[in-house]
Amino acid sequence: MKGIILNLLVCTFSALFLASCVEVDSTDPDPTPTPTTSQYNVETISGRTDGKGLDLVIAGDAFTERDLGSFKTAVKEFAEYLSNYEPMLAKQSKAWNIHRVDVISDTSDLDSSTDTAFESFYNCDGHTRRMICLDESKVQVEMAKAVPQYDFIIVIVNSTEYGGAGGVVATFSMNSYAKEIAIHELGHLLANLGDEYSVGGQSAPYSEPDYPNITINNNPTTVKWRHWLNDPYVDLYEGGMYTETGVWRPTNDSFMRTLGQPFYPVNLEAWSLALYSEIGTYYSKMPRSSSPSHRAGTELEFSVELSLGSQVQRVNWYVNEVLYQENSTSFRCCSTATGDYQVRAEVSDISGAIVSDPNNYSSSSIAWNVSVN
Amino acid sequence: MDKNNTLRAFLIVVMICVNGVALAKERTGTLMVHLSYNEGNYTIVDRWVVSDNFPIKSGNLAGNDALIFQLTDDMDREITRIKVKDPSIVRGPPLSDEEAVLMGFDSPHNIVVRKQGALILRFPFYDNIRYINLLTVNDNEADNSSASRSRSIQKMDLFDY
Repeated sequence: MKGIILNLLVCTFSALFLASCVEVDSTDPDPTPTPTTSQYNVETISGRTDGKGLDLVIAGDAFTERDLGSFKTAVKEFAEYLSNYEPMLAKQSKAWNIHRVDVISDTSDLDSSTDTAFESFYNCDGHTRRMICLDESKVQVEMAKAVPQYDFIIVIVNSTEYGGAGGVVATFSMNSYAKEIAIHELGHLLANLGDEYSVGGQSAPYSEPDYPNITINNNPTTVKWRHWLNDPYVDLYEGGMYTETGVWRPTNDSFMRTLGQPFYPVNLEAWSLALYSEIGTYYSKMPRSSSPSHRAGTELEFSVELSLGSQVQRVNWYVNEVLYQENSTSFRCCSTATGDYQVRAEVSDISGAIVSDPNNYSSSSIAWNVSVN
Repeated sequence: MDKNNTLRAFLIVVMICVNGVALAKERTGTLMVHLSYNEGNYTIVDRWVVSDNFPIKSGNLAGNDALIFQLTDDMDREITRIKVKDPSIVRGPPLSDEEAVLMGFDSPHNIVVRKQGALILRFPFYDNIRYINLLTVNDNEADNSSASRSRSIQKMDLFDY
């Protein structure tokens, strides 16, 4: 105890002395946490707010106060569209946190001399009418204040004309087909999927693309999706990545080739691995300590909060490497233990969407070394 | 080293000796960094700290053409690094399936490369943070921790920008 008091005294004295003698640099990043100051109303329409999971922020542009109702409806419809796009996406929906940010513009007229909140406009490359750009800097700064944990930003633009764009901020219009753009863009942004369509006049790349769904290797024994070749949809289809020859894609069609189409296995596997790569297999474990203890004759409760959920993940429990319990997120043990022991939770994906995972993104092992007092 | 820094260094050494442990760097929030870019040149526009310890996304699968930003301390030692998609790439949407049929052709993305723009980065906040480095990686980056295979192509000082 004396040692602790002495240390506290020394630390306090030193800190006070340091504070008095070290000049504060005016350019020093503020060590005091800055409160989030967003001028916008934010509503988390699904998921959580602690940053665990993937945080998708949906804001609007060219929505006046009078249009807010239709914006809210559009966000709700998009959230449902995303989670129901594929049956597997519905099972993985726990991975996503969707936040709506209500941004009010002074006008809903994109061609007006009055700017909308994020200054969206069509034809932003000068020759593609359907391409919508906006003030990406302003969008990002405002969203970082409103939802600092965001991972992806989508802005819905209040126009019924088909349009949108993908990039650090994705956009799509209120046209009924336009929300398909956002799913396609998430394929690029989240899963690093390449475009599978062909347009004339382009050459195949010289080296293997790092997209999981595009290859220049048409050898079925070595192609990167060879583990899916037993699937009836998967084969080697020539054409993709903007060229018609010398490049192959895994399925005849998919959402990376034609908007609105299914993912199909290779793209779904890449999407699922990307989810695990970014958010891990679990969010928390109990006990938090890896070296808990309990008295002889009593039990400890162990639990794991899964990132994607028990529809697609399984936890098996081992005591000293002997399987004790299968497929449960919690486990009580071990009142009969007379000495120290190890509990291990093995988390794995059971969705069937992942066949090959060389980096082990979709599985993990959590160990507790338990002392019995 | 000026007089104040000398004093500071001396006292830190004294504290370490008396307490018997190094001063632990504990995460105390989330650092938000607003960057702007102009033809590939990145500069810090602003940075601020939020109190929540939000998880940092690695961007492991962002692809080989992704940008790698490294957060380092005042000795330029790596604290963490993240990969992000190149913010200068903007893809126009393909035609909707219905429109493509009506117009009778497939439609490409119409990729536009912006010369200027902005990017927000999110890092863990520690009290010894100092630099943001934009890295280039020599070859297919399989191992993020392999510092020898990456080098800084741009250094940005969080204290002086």
